Amino acid sequence: MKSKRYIVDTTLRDGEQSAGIVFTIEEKVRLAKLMDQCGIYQIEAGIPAVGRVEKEAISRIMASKKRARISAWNRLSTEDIRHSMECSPDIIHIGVPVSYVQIYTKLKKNKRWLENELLRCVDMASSAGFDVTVGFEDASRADISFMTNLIKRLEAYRVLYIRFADTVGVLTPGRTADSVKNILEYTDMDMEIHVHNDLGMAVANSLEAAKSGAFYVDCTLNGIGERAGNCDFQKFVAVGERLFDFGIDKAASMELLREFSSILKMEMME
Amino acid sequence: MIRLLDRTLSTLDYGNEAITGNALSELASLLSKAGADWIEIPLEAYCLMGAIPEGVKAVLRIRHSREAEDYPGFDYYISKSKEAYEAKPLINEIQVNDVKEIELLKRYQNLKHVCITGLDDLILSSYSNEMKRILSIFGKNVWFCPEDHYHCATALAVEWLARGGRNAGVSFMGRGGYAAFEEVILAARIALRQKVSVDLTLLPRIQELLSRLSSVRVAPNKAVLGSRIFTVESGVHADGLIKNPTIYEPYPPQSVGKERRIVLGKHSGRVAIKVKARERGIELDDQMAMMLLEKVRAMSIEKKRGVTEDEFGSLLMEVALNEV
Repeated sequence: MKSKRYIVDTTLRDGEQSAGIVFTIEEKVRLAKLMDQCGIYQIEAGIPAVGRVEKEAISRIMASKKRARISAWNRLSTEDIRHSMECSPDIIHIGVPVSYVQIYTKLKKNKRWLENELLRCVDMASSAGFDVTVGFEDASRADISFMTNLIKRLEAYRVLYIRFADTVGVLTPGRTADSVKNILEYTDMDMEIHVHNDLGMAVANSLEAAKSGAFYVDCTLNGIGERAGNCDFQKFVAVGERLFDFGIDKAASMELLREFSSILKMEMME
Repeated sequence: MIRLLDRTLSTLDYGNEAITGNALSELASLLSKAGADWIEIPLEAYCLMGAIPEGVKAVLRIRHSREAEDYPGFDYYISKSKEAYEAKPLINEIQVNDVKEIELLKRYQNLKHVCITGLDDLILSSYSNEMKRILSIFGKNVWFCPEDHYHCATALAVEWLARGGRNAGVSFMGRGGYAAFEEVILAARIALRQKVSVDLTLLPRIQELLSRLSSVRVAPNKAVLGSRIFTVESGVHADGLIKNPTIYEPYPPQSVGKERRIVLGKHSGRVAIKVKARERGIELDDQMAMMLLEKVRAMSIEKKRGVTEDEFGSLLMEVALNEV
């Protein structure tokens, strides 16, 4: 029997972040419904802090979903998390930059500040009764021991799983496997892999992460996403199904992809 | 030291009138300058080219090993023939479609130069061990040319080169179902610290030339080559890029002949709004920037696309005039 792995679709969040792509509320709700029907485990529905329209879309997705778990994406900010709580998602996801270039140059903070702020944000969401996942941004350029220490602190806060994000798309399959195995060896946390396709290796890196023990794999429809995009759902499932059970219904996923192609009338599809 | 055999010329349709000897020679030269150590040239192409372009190390694709005698001057000859041929440096190309067949390759151990093509399914296996097995059978000088049915050819070529293999077969944009030349070169530079001195600013020229010779369509988000891979809208990313491009870029756009562009839309943030206004000579305080950001997001959602420069100019004027 094939071992189980779970697809996390981030088309409506990271996919929509690609320049020029905008989904209407109705489109988001329709796509989420089809994702739910085809067996996608988790749908990252958007970023509530973007504003009223985004919040309405996420709330309507929550109201109409059946099986999928709906997550809302947040920066490391209590204000962002308040916006998310208004949408009552199943999961509040908190993105935290973990590479030194991101901590010291982008945030202009230090590791101690980051750790305290993260625990404050996680505690806020968790205390309010939400399931919480944490995304390690730029993890592929971060210090593994710093990440494992952070995870050990997060274990006490009932975080469901950690997203290991190859934010700039520089992983190779070998490095992906090493990173995932290292973290799993030193912590008790489940892992999610989130990769970008800058070097054309998103499918291979995701597969290698799943082979190394990551239970959750992030994908987008048609592989849309920042720069060269994310791991392409259709390609990943086609290859990965030879090793894993994703619980994806083929007929429903074909309908989802047809609907997506008809919605995305932009340069990307030409 | 890694070495790439580029097979792009072997993937062209030679019935196409646009293919001329000069264009093929230019393509071969550009690919060499961009990091291909050898260019595979099929006989049809060589007949049109008349000669090997200066500075290009070439491998002639032939049908039978004896054909090599008729075309002197190549570094290697490559053929699907399984027979040894001592008179010329012949690469015997062996198609392997299943990882289980690797064990059977021992029967070709006597061949001097071998190119293993295929093995898409390596990615599903413990590829590190299988690659070691291939290297132990043929030695480090064996070529590996992974195919792309499982969308992992680039990854396999890179892993091959990272794990002791010296020679890999590729093609521009992965034409013909191989690993993509431009992706493997970039990965070699970034992940393996190899190919650091080749000129990758030539990639757009190669792409343009190839599009004249064949029906090439490049997706806007195609890795390395896509027209939109350095176009940024997201507020978080734009903010990071303004502070330090290495925060969100795996390599500088200029290194592959491209430029970064920050555009505005639903996912923009305050910092990008301020920067775009400053480009037009207007300094915005935080409150004005937030006001303008709301207008930009509303327009993007309403129009279901990004906001153009002209539209941003109009919105900026509205906000600026309201303040006066």
